[in-house]
Amino acid sequence: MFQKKNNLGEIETIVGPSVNLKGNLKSEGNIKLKGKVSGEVKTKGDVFVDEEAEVKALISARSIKVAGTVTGDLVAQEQVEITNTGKVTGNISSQSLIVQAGALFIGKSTMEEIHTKGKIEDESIEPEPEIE
Amino acid sequence: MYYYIVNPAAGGGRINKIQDKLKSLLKEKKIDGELVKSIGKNDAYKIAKLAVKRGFTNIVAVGGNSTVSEVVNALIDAPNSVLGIIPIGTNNTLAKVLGISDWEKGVYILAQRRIRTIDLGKVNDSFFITSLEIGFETEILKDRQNISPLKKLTFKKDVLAKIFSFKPFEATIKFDGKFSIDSKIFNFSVFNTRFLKNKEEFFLNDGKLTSLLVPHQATLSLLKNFSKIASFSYETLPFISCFRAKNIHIDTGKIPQRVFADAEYVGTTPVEVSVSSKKLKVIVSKDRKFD
Repeated sequence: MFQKKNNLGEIETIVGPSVNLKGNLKSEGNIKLKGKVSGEVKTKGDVFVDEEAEVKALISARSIKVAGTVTGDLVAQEQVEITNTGKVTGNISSQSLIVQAGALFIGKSTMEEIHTKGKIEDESIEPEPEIE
Repeated sequence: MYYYIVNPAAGGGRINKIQDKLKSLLKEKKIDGELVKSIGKNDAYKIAKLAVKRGFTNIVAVGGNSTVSEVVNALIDAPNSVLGIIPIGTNNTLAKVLGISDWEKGVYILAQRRIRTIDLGKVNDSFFITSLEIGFETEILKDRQNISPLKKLTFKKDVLAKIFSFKPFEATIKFDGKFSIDSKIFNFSVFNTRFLKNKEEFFLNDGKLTSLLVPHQATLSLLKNFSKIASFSYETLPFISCFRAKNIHIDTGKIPQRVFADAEYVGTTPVEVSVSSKKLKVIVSKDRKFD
């Protein structure tokens, strides 16, 4: 996931810089957010929140990578990654979570692991005020 | 039976030079039929409508973008009709998408009768096959309607001059009634296609439109990307936005903007753009740019 490609490589939706989006953005493919977004972002693909992006939205996707600022919950079927420039204020639900040194995360993280014999019980982590 | 609608003004009167050759080639390929010349704007539309009424099902536009666009709009309510194209215009964008590179190839492709059904974009009451433009590109298109060979040579210089003089505009664009964007815009395009891996892939039957928004940029940034802008390869620009939707409402507030569809002027904003429920049968080449 998130391989570095030129502009539109494998990305179906791009909210570019200097664009202000409001409402429910629903997609089948990958989404890249570089501008301001408020509302809800939902896709079967991956979401990448770029360094310059300011997002106030619930994001649901296969995997989510945050390098910008997100205020809202993140729900990923697979992985959530917050890079060293990323700031997340909200709850995270995912199978795995990566928080890089320098990232900011204020909220609760719930991690689910799916085994071949079925789901195991949710493993919850108590709210962590800040990870930097 | 084939019905040929010829625009005698297309390509600077090109038909006069190829007429005899064209007729004999059509005869040789056993696809000759009635040949009618249009006189002015919208004439090709009226002639095509009459041809359908008279029972013709193979309607061939012999001209450029404007002739094809008029015939496309005339065939919307004729589901048994098939569109053919023999490109002789200055701009033959639609023919190129269908894989028809020149008029002679057009005749061979007609004779092969490889028919595909494609989606059509709809803007207000007009229909389009490839794309719709608002903003900078319309400045170029409005001057390209009667482009002379000399003008072609100065094309890049003209584009450069227009980069300096073009005034960006504010717009609110709604997609499928679900989300909206506000932006100061340099150019906004709606394609009946999609973009993958940095190149245009033509999916003329996937039921969605692709919007590409080029926001207002500092002149220096536009100049840095001049070659991409001059070739209208917006999808390669680093600052674009891209959305896929079935319905798009474009409002530019108090300052209406010109709208071109398939390189033809169709009106001003506000406009409603959508994928039409009506489809079109077209004769295509095996070298077409879509499946």
